[in-house]
Amino acid sequence: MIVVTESKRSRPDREGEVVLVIGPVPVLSIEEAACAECVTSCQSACKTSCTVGNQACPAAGAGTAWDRAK
Amino acid sequence: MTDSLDLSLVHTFRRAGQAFLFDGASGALARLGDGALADWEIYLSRAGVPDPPGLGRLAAYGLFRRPPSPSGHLPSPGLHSLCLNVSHRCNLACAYCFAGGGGYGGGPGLMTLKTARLAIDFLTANARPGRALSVDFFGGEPLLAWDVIEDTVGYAQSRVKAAAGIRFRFSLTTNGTLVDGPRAQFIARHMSTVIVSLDGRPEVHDRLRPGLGGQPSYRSAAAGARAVLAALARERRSPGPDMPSGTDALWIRGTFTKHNRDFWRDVEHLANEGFRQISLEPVLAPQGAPYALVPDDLPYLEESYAHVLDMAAAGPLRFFHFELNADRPACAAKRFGGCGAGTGYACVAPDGRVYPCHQFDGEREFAMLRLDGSTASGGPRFAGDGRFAAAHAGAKAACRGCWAQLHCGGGCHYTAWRHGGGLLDPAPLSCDLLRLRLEHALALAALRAPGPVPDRILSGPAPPDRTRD
Repeated sequence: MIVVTESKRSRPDREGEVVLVIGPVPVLSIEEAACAECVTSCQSACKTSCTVGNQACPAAGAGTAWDRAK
Repeated sequence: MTDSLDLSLVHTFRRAGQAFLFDGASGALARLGDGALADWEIYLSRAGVPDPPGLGRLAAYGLFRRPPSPSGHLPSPGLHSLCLNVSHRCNLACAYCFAGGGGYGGGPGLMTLKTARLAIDFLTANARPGRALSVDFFGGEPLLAWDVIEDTVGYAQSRVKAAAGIRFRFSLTTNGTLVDGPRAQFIARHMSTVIVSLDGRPEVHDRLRPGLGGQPSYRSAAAGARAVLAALARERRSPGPDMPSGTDALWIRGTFTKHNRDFWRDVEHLANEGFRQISLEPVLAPQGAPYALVPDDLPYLEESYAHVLDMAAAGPLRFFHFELNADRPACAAKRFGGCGAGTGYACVAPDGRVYPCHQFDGEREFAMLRLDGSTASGGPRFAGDGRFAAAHAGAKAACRGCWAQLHCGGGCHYTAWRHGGGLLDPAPLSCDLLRLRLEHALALAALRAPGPVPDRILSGPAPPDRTRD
């Protein structure tokens, strides 16, 4: 991965430009996937203000919608 | 075109000197030029204006689709994570402790070896076959019940040998003051995650985290954290889904309050002390407490988050709330349901009572059952608490239309119950803080993303090569 460095942060995007930087990941269904592996819960670094966004799905490592769309 | 698209969870914002469009339904993020931002803001606020830049291409990539909308109870994941509050005692007297000094409103008890073993039996008896199981040691200060921790780990491992397909992932949260060399080694060997509580600068830490006699605790706490870090560095662990490698297992966790709205200085201090993974979180406090955060504090907290974003973008620092796992989010049930308290996650108190999570320990109206000698022979069974299965983001009025709902899951149940209007009514300040840090987290993810390639430029002129200086 090429990390965008501090010097690039101050460089404005072009006026009308739209750049997709994180691709979409579909929210498939309400059913759980990969339940055998998932330990997603409050058992993390945060004990009082857990956010789901921190929690990775062990089954979703490859083949995201973004990968497929490229 | 708008008629076929769902733009209800689209959010535009500026962070880190750049403008962004976030689609809460798909989790996708686009960086916008200033002109594109202006066009999008007009488009989202008025009817009958021309399509903004990139609308069609973004839709073709899968943005702007209607997310699933659960109603009623979410499906039960089955019990898989158990917090053992092995100690209702603590050797510190933190002013902001949600556990009332460790006793959770009751007496200062320690869990017995028998109860801890019953808890392991209870977890294995109620888990789905083959499921990874998580056990967290918490308190009070759990190291006051060190013999229980050692025995429970050994007992759980004996269960692994006895029953094929069971795997345990252990974690521990400690104030660090009681860590010595042998304990650090045991922690490094057996804990998938260890969380040591440090609030940051010594004067900040000692102000609200004194010992029982009022003495400062920073020095011994930091020494304990360093001992764990050194032991993890020595312990060559095989990385895997249940066991992060080396020092990645250690997180420093602290609390910021009204007294240190400039908490970025505490992150900086901890980073300078050699800790790479840090989580500083807003205090949970009753209104009127001198250290409680109020809405007027938000601009100061915003400034701190911006500084932390700069640090995380520039170096190896990992700030917990900014680590999104954007490419590997949890499944929809988790994203709507949040932490899983009362459904897949529960807590056992020293007296054997089971609560929906560690924070509800001692709240008798939420006690789910009590472990007894019948646990190993199939009872009592864990049925979950329907109040929690129903309290998901799809059911909360405050979450409807909120662009952050699938990165939040409806928020912390305890915060909503204690400081909001009930399980279905989150505390507004906690929602404001969640959205604030999520904007920064998304901006950081954009800064860390690979440089744009032509295929990702969805409108505007061809860009220069910005992947290298």
